[in-house]
Amino acid sequence: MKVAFLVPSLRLSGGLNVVMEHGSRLARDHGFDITMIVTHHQGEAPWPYPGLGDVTVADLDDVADEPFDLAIATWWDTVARLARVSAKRVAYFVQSIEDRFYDPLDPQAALASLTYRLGLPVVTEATWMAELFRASQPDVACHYVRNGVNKDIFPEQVEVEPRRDGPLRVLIEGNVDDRIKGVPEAFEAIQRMSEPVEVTLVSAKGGSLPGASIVGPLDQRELSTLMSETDVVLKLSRIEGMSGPPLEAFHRGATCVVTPMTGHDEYVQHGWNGLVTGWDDPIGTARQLDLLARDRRLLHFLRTNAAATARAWPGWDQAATMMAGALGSIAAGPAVEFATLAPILSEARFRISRDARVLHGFKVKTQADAAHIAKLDQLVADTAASAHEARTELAAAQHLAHERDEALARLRTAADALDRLDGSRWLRLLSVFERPIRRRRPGLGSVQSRIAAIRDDVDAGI
Amino acid sequence: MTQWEERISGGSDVLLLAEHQVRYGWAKGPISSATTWCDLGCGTAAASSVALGDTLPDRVVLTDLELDALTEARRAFSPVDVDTVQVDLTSRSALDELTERIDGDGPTVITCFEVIEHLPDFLPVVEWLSARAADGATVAISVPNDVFTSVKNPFHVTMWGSSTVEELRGLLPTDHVAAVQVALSGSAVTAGAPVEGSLHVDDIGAAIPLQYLFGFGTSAEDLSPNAAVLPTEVAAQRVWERQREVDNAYFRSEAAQAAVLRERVAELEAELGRLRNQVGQR
Repeated sequence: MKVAFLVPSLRLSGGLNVVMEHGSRLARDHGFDITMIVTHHQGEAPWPYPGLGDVTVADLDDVADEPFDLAIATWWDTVARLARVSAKRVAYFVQSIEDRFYDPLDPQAALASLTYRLGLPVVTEATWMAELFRASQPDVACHYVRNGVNKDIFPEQVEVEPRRDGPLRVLIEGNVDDRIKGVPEAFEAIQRMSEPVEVTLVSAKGGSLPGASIVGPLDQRELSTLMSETDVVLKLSRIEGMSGPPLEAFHRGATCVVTPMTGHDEYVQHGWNGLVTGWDDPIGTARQLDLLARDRRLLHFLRTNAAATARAWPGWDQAATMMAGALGSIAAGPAVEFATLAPILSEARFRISRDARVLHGFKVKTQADAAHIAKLDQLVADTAASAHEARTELAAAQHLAHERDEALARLRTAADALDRLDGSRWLRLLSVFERPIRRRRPGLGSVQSRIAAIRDDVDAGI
Repeated sequence: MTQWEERISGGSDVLLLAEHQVRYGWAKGPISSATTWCDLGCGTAAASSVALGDTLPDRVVLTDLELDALTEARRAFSPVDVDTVQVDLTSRSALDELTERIDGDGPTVITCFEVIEHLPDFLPVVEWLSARAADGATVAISVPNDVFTSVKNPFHVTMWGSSTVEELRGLLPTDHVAAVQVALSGSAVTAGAPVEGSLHVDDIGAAIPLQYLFGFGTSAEDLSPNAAVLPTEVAAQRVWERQREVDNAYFRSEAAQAAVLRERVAELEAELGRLRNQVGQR
């Protein structure tokens, strides 16, 4: 059977590695003629995957006239390219529900989501996705084929050596700022631990974090060696299809602490071979890690059962046999009228892209309006501040005027009192009596003159 | 207890024999009304000959990869004349030849119990069985639950469990029937004579499947649940249980000595240090 896998590129990635593992074995062990058709990054040299020699690699532009029995999309944006391949049957190898990788308002989310509703026969690697497809399109073939584990690179452990003491050795995988893989959250949990811990971060981009050793990028064998020196893989991903690293670590005798990310239930059983922690719970996660650091019997129990889980997990040969069966079944099944679907998909892509442009225009306008409103808000705020200041000054002035009026009234009262005193009989009588005294002491001054002086001061105040 | 005896015989553990007999008992109804029964990977037929000895159809075709097993199987069914054939179930051409061999008038039943996990490539036989069912045959197959034991069975080339079974079901005809096989424990009162009685298996949902069984084809609905109860070798069981108990107690007491010995080692090391100091001072 001549089968084409449509891949965006053949760069190094986990998802493409899965396609290559299947493809090379389908060719080598099951008599398939496999072509990897590069749809997006054409002309690039492929990553030297071990099975590359078993398959043909071609660019999409070069296979227009080549007939295939089956063409399989492997990423949402390769689905539209199926129409450019001459194939009797088409299928969709779904490794994750990929619209979740985008912001809901990103048109790529809508486009990715659309590809799952085309009625293409599906092969998927996790139960949760198989259930999703069987529920949403019950009449469409959906095959569940798990990813294998490369047992040469990640050999199974017959027995696990107990680790009685020493700091808990924790491995985190992902780039320092990768929120989808929950790396920042993992480090927050580590920082909240109270028990001694040794943290290693495997990151393709490198970087630095206090208290952690950062290594990478690592090839699979280097990763396997590192996992064999690990007690716990800490994986707090938010979105996964079926995460491979904890399972690979199981093969090397490590256990895991994971969030209940989609696909974890394929192999993680809480309290049996690993621990499942809650979302956004760094304190709870730190407590689980501290528990494993303190309770070495529990750690050994989980590691032992993790190794047993790994022994029962299929290798790639078994996985590829299931894939061969699934592809054979799809090839023998009813044909999907993709030639009819393709223009619809193309029209949908056009409309979504056009709407996205309109949406972008609205977004730009809204942003401009928001900036203008912000300026007006600032102006109003400044004016309000000035008005408040003016009001405060006015109030102070009014207060002063009031005090002045009161003072004036008091002065007028005093002037009236002085007028009455000046004209009183008793003052004249006092003047008569004080004359002899003034004669004897001429510098003393008269009472009337003193009152007159006071009156002058009062008049000046008024 | 894990059994690595993949080629059973009449002298095998009774529970293992019962396990095999019950699987053939599941297919007994369709086999009894068939004209041809073909057993893939028949082995020595130690269990199938007991389970089906009184209900064999006109034509019996037994296949295995090993000639010795086929010879044993012929002997087990004797004096019934059975057709034995050596078949590599991973070979599509060998399976095509087998098709011609079992083709005939009347209903055909094909059984393939605990065989698939031994095949490096099980796809040819799975596809062949589906094709035979499409042609009108009734097929009954089973695979083990390796995941439950998680111990690597050296005879199993592929590992099976609930997830693998889900993968397999995607390759079988959509109208297949499914069943599981579970272990039973029990007891009986006897005065020396054979004990007969009905068996009620309750709360089966909580039991761990040890084997997964699937049937498809014309008479798949006639595959019938059944159970076997055989006396267990409690004396042998007592020996290994007691041995394990004693071993545990012995090693616990050994482990308890470790602290005392460590203390003594520390004392001796301290004494040695003191003596070294004295020698150094002189």
